[in-house]
Amino acid sequence: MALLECKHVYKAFDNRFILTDVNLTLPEGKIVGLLGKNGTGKSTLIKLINDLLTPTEGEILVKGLPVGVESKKMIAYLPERTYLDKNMTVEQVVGFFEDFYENFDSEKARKLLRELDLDPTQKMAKMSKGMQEKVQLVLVMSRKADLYILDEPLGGVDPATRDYILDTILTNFNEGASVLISTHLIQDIERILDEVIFIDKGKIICHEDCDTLRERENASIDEIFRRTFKC
Amino acid sequence: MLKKLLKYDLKSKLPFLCIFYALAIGCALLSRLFGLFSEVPMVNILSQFFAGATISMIFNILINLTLRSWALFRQNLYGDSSYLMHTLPVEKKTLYLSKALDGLITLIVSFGVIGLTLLIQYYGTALWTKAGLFLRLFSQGRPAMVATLLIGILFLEIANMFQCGFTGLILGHKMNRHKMGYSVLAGLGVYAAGSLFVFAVIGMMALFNDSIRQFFLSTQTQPVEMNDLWLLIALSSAAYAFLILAMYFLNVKWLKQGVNVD
Repeated sequence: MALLECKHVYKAFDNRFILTDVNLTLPEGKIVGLLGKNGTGKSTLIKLINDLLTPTEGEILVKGLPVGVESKKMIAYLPERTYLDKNMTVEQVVGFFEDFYENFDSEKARKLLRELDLDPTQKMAKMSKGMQEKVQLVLVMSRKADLYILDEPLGGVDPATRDYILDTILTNFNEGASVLISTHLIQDIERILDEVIFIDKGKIICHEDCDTLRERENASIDEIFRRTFKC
Repeated sequence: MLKKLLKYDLKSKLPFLCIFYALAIGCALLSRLFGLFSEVPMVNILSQFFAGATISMIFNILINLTLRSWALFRQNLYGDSSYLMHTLPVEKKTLYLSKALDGLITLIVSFGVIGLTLLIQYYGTALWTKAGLFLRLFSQGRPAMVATLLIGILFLEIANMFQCGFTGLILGHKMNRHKMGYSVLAGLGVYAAGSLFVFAVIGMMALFNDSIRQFFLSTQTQPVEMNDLWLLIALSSAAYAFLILAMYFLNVKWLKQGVNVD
């Protein structure tokens, strides 16, 4: 059974279609890049999978189940914005995740936070945006999920932090799980990807194994992306 | 899960409200304390000042409670925090029930604090006696019972207003643009429709009951038959309870249809 299936998914706002007939199947144990220019529907697709948007048409299944309470237990989602309560301390946020997610490993989260030299008593509001994003990443990666969905995890961070983020993702995701990473910073993540999905104007134009694609096109994913999305 | 959600909802609201609770009770105590020496002009001014501050703090409690509840509802279900709330393994109806219970609990606590503040401020004073006399005019010597019932109606009215705000936010955020504008319009519309419904229920009763009709039509202050007053209050309460429950189920249904978070 596929981990994630999108069947003929459409999403429209005010009769303008953002996603058109999206059909997608994600297997288990793969790191998949969801690549596309800004405003092509990457975040919309991710929000649909996470029940933050409702499809205009079509069906999304996670391990055969429709999006809902059960799918949310299986998906660990990192959005592109900071979503934690600013009035909470780091420790309280860890407690919050512990309360709501059965598959949350609080010891692992505390260990990762210690490595970041974060004061558990510090309030989220007192942290820089970058630090808040790191806390979010730690929380998401400390879940033993089946599917990790990371929306622009590298957006707006310096190269050193990008490396830290990628290492954290690579070394912490649950064995056998899949990771769906949305980004337009392909060069940075190319090395970790197993599969790529190119999305343009709300349609999936390519979903292929990275090595096969590189061999066939005799170019890196970054070069293929630039060629495909040339203005 | 409901318990956990409710715990976090209460935690995010009560600390702020406690500041206003403390200020209201503090002002009432100071007003009463300075009132003991009201023959000294300067102290009397202070007593009057704190009496005014007490009333403003009571309004502050109600305004803050209402606005904060709506703001947290919006922030949690449609703002940045919605990315966390809607991805928790919790049903939409549980998310809503937690907000509704949080509103109800904080409203009960606020009513309690306001009652205590008014008791500190006015118990045994001339105003207290006047209010008692005024109530007696309507209630055939049972002012305490009538006052309690009227407070009950006021409570239901505020609870209804609370929920109309939630309904407005849910309906407004179904739109793709001008969500806040539509939320305000929808909230006001639902509140107006609800008020008309309660008024229509009372109006229907007035058609068949002369005593109640006179209560609305006559400019003369006259006692209403206790049985009629009971009926009036019971019907109004039933109308409000029906409204609150109906809107609760509608809100849950609309929320279950899915959200469109920006």
